Amino acid sequence: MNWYKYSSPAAFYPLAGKLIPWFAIPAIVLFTVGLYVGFFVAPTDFQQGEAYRIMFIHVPAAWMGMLLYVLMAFYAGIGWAFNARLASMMASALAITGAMFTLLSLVTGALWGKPTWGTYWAWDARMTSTLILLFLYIGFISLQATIEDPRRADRAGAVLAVVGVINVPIIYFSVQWWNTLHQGATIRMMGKPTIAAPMLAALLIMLAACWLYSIAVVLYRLRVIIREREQRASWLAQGTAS
Amino acid sequence: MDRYAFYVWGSYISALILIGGEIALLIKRKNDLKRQASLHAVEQRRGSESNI
Repeated sequence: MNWYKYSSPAAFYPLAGKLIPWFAIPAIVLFTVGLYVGFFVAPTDFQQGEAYRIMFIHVPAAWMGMLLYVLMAFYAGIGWAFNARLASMMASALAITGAMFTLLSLVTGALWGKPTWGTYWAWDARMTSTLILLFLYIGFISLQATIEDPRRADRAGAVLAVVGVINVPIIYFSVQWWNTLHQGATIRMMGKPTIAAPMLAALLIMLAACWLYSIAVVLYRLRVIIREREQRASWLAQGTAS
Repeated sequence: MDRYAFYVWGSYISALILIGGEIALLIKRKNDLKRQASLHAVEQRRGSESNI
């Protein structure tokens, strides 16, 4: 199978359309299961009480905000370096979902902060670097929207995305590098997690749901972007796309 | 839950609003594009008819 053929918008457009339901339906199922486990199976936390249940949406949203930024920078960089149109379109499609998850992590973080720390917001390293991430997303989206020529918009966006990727490790390690109000990592890449099994299960199910949701929405947006940019292309004009 | 209800429900309702908003805007963008394309097709057809 020649995978390179899918780097063409004309070949990827129908494939994306076929893939969307395979991600959207499991996302809905996993959101339902994750919320059920998070609200009805996971026990009450002895320190934070019921307020800790915000974690089931806050943590996956924060992770998705960071991961989608890295993916966006990767695709923007590929599009810039190899003049690959589909990669640049993919970066544009990822930006809005990444910004949405980053905003969600800030809102839910504020709502978690008030009952646990006594304040909605503090200029601590984790929160400030996450706010900078949101500004980077907004900058990328604004650049793409204001520059009329898509190729130039892609290049300008790619510079910002690639430079801004330095902020992601700063967010991740901020709780270790600085003395922050934000708690340290509960789940580490290496080593045992420090939370109860049902809490971890709910968290991981919600994370999987957020991943599947992101893939479905990004593929859908990618199809819209392809249609916008390739309006005059013969393969779209002939109505061969499904 | 009552002591923390505002914060917990507030979080999940804000998630619903943001995710719902993203999906609604995306569907609107697609519908606008479809409408634009069909208008363009009608204009083209009219143009070719007037040429005849």
